[in-house]
Amino acid sequence: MKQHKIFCLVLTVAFSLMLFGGFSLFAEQAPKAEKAEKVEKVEKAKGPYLFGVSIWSDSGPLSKKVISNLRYAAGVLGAEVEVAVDGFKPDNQVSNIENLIARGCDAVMICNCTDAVVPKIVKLADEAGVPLALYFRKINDPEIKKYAESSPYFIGNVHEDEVAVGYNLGSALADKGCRNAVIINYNKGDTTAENRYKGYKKAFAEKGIALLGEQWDILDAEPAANAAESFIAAFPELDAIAVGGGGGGPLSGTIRAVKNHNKIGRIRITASDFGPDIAESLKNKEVAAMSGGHWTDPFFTFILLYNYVDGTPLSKKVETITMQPIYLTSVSEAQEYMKWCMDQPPYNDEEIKNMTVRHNSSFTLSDLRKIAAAYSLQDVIKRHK
Amino acid sequence: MRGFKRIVPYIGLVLIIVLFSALTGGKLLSFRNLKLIFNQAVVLIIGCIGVTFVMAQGSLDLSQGSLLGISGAMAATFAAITPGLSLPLAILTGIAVGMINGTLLAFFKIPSFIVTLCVLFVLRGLTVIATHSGSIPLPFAMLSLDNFRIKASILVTVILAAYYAYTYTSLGKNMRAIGSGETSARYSGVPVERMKVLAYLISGLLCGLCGWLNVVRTGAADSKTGLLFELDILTALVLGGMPLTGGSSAKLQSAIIGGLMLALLSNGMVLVGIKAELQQAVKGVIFLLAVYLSFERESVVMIK
Repeated sequence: MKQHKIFCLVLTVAFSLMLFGGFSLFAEQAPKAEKAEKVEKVEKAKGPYLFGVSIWSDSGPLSKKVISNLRYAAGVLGAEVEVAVDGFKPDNQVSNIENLIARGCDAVMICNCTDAVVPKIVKLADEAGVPLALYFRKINDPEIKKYAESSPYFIGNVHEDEVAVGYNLGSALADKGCRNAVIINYNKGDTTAENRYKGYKKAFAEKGIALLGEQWDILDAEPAANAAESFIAAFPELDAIAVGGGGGGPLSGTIRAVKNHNKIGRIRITASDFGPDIAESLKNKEVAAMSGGHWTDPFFTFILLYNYVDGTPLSKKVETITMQPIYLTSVSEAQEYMKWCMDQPPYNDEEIKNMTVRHNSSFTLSDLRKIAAAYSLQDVIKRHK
Repeated sequence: MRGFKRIVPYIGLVLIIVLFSALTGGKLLSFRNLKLIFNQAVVLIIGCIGVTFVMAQGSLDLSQGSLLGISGAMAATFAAITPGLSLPLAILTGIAVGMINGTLLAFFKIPSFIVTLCVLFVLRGLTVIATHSGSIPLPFAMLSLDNFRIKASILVTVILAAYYAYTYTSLGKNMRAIGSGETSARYSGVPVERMKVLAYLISGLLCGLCGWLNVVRTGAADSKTGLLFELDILTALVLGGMPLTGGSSAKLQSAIIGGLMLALLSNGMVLVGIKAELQQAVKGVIFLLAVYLSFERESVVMIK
């Protein structure tokens, strides 16, 4: 018994010394990245390129469309897509990138939940030598942006002009005569949520709309419904609810709450991220205006990565591509959107192939920028009608 | 039957390893992947070890997820001032919360289920406040602390210290005595109240350490950090053979085996390419099976 005790004590002391040895090592060599743990890519047998996608969910309207569109594009190019759900939690996002790299992905892409998680993700990609790109996100923090851009494996990001999205939707509320609004938004620290918020606030200030309240961290229908009901009860003068996004769930919860209080038409709702019932919502005057259809954003990220992995990168430096979402304000527009963007892919097989240097040797980054910038309902109709 | 129950977790572990090794063509057991699994299991195993002390007394600790969040937030906040403060502050936060949990249970006689559930909500609110509903980044230099050697040293030290305290000291024996019967333990001279506070203090201390390890791993503290961590701990413990009702039969091995099993399972499913939507369902079925196999129907009691 006594021997056991001594044995345990000796081992404990030994490992404690190792531990503090580890710390002193850190103190001396902190800036050297090679001392950190490496998640190395598993060499896989030659086969189709595998792209790892970390996504917040696989069940909401937006995420489902993102996944199906990526799988379609990958299929056209003979590649495969591996999806991992992160629930917008930083620890899950780090685990997903580790797992996707370990799975043997040739490239990974992520919609980061906050700027703060980017350095770690970039570091994992660097250590494994796996190209990484962000979709739906821009990096707001200048230090983190600098850190990411110094990485040889960070390819770039695609995002929408989110301030403009918030501003345009806020202006649409003013055009409908709204004067008292609240904002229901998702994560603070999330650049998309914060930029849309900035846009809404700018529009409200310019157009004379009072911002009565705001609720953050709303990603699902249920909490959105609860928040909306609380606002409706607290502010009888409320005539507008701006839903920052969240993939469609928060919008459906908000509509439900407004319906339950018989305020449809008296409280106008704007939102980002269309659901499948957008035409119905506009017809029933449940929403005043919406932005969405930007699920092509991860597709452009995928194209950036595909060309890189295929040995024909579109650029030798970190690139940012900005695109505009689609705005819908009428039932006819919504019907056109469903017909041309949802019932068929916005880019057909030939167009997808032509976005790769493998199939179109003259394709450049500038061409991809032009395609992304031109994306709109009219653009899709013009190309496919 | 009892003997069989004892080896079920080991059989489960071997089955998971054999199954996923076969399905992944040996990728699961590659050195690189084993390092990755270790990386993902460290926090869970340490969290499980802490909760084992609580469960040995027949109590529960459901505050772990939020405690992981708030201790991580404290670590990140103070790391911005000086990185050296991050670890002590995370651990102190854990100890303080453990003291509160234990005191409310032992001296105010509020059941552990209620106490820790309430503390879970309070701490989540505090985490949201501390992170300003967003996230706090760590200084870039601290990313290097996510280092295999440091984590391995911490894990082995924690395992050995906990094993020694749990198995060979009066502390562990007293806690297990409370788990087999509080009244008889009291009559035998066990300082029941003090032991209850101590169990939560250990659980809090280790969870504070987990908070620091987690924040170093992700490079940021976030308002959502640690969400549902308490359920991961319970799942891992049950997978490791711990009865959900806890008690004196609680074994420290359950924490290690269970933590490893859960990490292997998650990693294996990703390597095999099981769709994300199916992974949760698979985990749920396995959890149900583990509860069925480990549940001691003949000695079922209320969780104190």
